Amino acid sequence: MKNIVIFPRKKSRDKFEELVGPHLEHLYRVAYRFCGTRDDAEDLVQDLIIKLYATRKELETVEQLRPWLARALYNLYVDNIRRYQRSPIMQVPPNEEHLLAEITDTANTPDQDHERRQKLQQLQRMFDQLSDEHRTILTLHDMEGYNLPELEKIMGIPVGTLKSRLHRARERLRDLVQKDGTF
Amino acid sequence: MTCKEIMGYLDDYLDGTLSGDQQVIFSQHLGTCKQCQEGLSKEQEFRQNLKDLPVFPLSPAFSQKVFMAAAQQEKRDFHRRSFITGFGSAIAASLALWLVTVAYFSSVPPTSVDVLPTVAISVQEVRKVKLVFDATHALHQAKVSIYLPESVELVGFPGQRVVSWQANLGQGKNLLSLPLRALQEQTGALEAHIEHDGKIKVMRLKFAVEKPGMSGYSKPQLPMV
Repeated sequence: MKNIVIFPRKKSRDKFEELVGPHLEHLYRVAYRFCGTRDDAEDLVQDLIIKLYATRKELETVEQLRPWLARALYNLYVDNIRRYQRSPIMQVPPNEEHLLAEITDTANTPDQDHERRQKLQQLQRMFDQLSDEHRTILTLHDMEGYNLPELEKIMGIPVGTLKSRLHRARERLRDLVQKDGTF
Repeated sequence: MTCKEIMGYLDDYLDGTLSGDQQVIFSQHLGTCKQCQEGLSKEQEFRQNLKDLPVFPLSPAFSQKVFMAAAQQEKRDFHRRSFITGFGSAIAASLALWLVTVAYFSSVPPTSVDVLPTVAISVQEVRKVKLVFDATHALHQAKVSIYLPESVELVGFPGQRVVSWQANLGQGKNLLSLPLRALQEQTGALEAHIEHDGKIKVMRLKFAVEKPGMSGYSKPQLPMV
């Protein structure tokens, strides 16, 4: 009698990980550019993954997942900004209070005396001074390489508007850099 | 075309959005003009630097944690999930902050003031200050106001010295997250006011804004991921 080997069906969580996992670092990098800190970027990505997991069946039908995910991340980022502007207070769930004890100050980082690093650090300071709108367009276009038609889909904004926004964002950054005199 | 006109098309050239004819004119000019060649290479270097801005690497095992969290989260009911999604990860973040827990509205005085430790921050540095309010009972539509010194601003609210919200505070601990950017070398104090039912709770946080690099904090200087 022949042995019949039955392979277990792939768990839906595994499938989800297979789909999204390869894009996680990219999402984090974009989130980091948006938010400016690791903690906020990880929060943003985690919130996104939790939301997507609830509708993971839909993901399997998406053809170009990376820009689709970037769009979802962007929308969540914009939602978070709006939510924060409505109210910056969040209640700590009673059974999560122990997490407060885990909060630590990780601010001190040893300086590394390297000219290029210093230049980049200065540039980062200038970049951080840009508005959310300008940081977002520079992140997605100049740093992460999305073109304007892709950004039209991601951000839901016409190409013409994006082009002038990109132009203004670069002008603003160049202006800040010039005033700073680092480059 | 003049050099000024050529430089006006620099972004389009680097973005690859010039038409065929424009591309030819641009390239011909570049081939003979040293000044524009320098302008181009300067702009290329600038863009490369922008791409090279470091990204702090992901926390170890972030991907495992995040997928596990997503699966666990699904098991909770919808109300709870939407609640935690906006909060759970934020609270777990290890970020520069000052955590202060105060008992709120448990005392009789209509106004009470807590003075918190002084925060040292460098000009143009962004630091997130997190304050925790411990409410003895739920407060519906409390008014939360942040009064800022001239030396700092709340990110997302440029130029505003006072920012206010109406917020519902739940019974227990409530987290107020304030990303602050230092603007000029100067000391000053930020005040967070919570008003409800004729009573005010004030938390005063002193700021000492120093020259860049003086506060011992700098952007993470780690390799790009």
